[in-house]
Amino acid sequence: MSTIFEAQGLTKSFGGLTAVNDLSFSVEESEILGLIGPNGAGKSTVFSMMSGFVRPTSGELVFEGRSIVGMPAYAVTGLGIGRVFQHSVSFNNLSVTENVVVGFLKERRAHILGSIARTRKARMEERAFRERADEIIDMIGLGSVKDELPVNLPHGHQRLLSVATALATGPRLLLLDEPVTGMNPSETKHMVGLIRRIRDDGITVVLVEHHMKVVVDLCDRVVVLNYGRKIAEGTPRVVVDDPVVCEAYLGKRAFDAA
Amino acid sequence: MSSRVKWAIAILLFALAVALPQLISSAYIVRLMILTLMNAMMAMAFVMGLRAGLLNISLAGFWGIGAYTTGMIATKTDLPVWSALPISVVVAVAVSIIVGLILLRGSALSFIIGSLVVAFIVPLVFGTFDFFEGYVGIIGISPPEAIPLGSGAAIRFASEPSFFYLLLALSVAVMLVFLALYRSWAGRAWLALGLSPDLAQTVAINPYRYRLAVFAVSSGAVAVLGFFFAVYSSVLQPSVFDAFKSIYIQMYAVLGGIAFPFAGPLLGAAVLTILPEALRLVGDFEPIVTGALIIVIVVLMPQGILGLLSGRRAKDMTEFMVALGRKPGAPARGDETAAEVDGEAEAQDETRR
Repeated sequence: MSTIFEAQGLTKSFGGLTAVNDLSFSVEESEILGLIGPNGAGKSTVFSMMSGFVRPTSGELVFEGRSIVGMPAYAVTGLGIGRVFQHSVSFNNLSVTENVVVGFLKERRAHILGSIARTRKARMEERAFRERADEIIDMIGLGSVKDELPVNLPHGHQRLLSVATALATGPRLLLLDEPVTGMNPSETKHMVGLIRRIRDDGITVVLVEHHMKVVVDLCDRVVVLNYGRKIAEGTPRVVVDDPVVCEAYLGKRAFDAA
Repeated sequence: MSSRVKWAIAILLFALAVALPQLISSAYIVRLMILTLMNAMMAMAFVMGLRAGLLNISLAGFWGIGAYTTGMIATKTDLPVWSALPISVVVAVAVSIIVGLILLRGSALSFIIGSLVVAFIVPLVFGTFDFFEGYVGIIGISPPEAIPLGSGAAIRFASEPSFFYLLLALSVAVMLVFLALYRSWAGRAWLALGLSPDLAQTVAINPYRYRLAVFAVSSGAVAVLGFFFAVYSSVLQPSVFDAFKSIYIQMYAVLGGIAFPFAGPLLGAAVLTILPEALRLVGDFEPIVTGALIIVIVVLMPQGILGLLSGRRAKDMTEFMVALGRKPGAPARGDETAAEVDGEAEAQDETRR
């Protein structure tokens, strides 16, 4: 396995607060890596830096051998890092299909003038995008609600839609921010199956999640953060049994649940 | 409403617009129709920016740049007046790109302030420099040359109806371009940007580039109307293009309903162009009464008239402003499930850009 993403000495301070402190970790190709830690550990900030929304104070971020520090978020997506936000965010006035079609924008070849004049080439490309969007939608199990607006969907479906949109951008690394938070058990099961499938299709996944059972089930490896520092790293089972992690983060209840 | 019904209504409205000046002998009514259509078109350009997440208060300035370019060409050069149409558009687009390259570097919020500054600067420039004839303004702009129809007949631009038809033709052309743009991938990217700027970035949409495009296109569109205004009024004064006009443009759009890129501005402009005229009865108090009425209308229906009638939701202006300042991936409202409760979220806000 080769390394697809690497963070070295990553640090982010907001004023006097150091949210992430000298963090180093790597993501191997085709693995599911969990980024866990108590509230305020800096997980979201790490995600924001990995996706280009927040610029690190210092440190290096390397994706497929290329530094992405200082790149704006849209360019990072363009390189092949997909991000799904923590909350259900979709383009609310666009149908489910349209939401996914937007994801193909970076692949378009038709010139803007062709698209305006609706040339044959532009229309064919548009149709191809729609077909591929529908394939993704069927794959994630939203085929029956293709023409709905996202606001009319239950929470679990909205989360699935966010993942579908991200998949349309053709990522090689997918960042999922709390993919199962707020989901009921059956939705959770569906999402877990989907994430496995995404990985089996060759897309590397990094996720932030509080749901310990999901983390243990799903992740090949976890990195544990506390106060912006890495306090443990390894397979979920080992990490969960690590007394340092238990003390710093998990607490008795979550420990039992796992 | 199906698209077939929409097209039927549009064609009906067009036929009505063509017929009305023939049926009505009052030049005053035709003049009101001209003002309404011109205002509506500018509001459509405003809505175009809004769709891409830009609250652009500088449109009256670019309207003025188009008008002044036409005025200068008509009075100081030997070029045909018609040539001022493309030249005005090119000048306005060029200026908008230069201005946009600077203003759009900042956040969407700073763009609002920047565009307001532009709205103030443009009339000042026209008024201050003798090159633009100062506050006296440009006078004696001739109408565009007659269009020969063969065998001695020609379309001449002199009467109110003839100018109305000129404006109608230009407006239909601009609207068709707008519609084609909205249906293209660029239109989809604009909409995505307007609905959620951060999510748009996660589908590789470059906000800077797409917003620059929308800024340039809407500036070019109002320059077309600037050309029309110059040849129609034959006199240009800086005060016509001041920031108040830009704010009025925004009101036409909001009153009609910002979710409706064509019908909203038409309705809003009709109400706000005719209302002050109807209120002439109250004499000098007219602006006060108009202003009060607008406040009442907007408070009671932030979605605009059409939004209220159809129930179609778009972000209203309040939501829009809130969205501009939202941190990446934050919920639209409520939904605080397991949000990270720590200083990191707020601190992120400060450091973004």
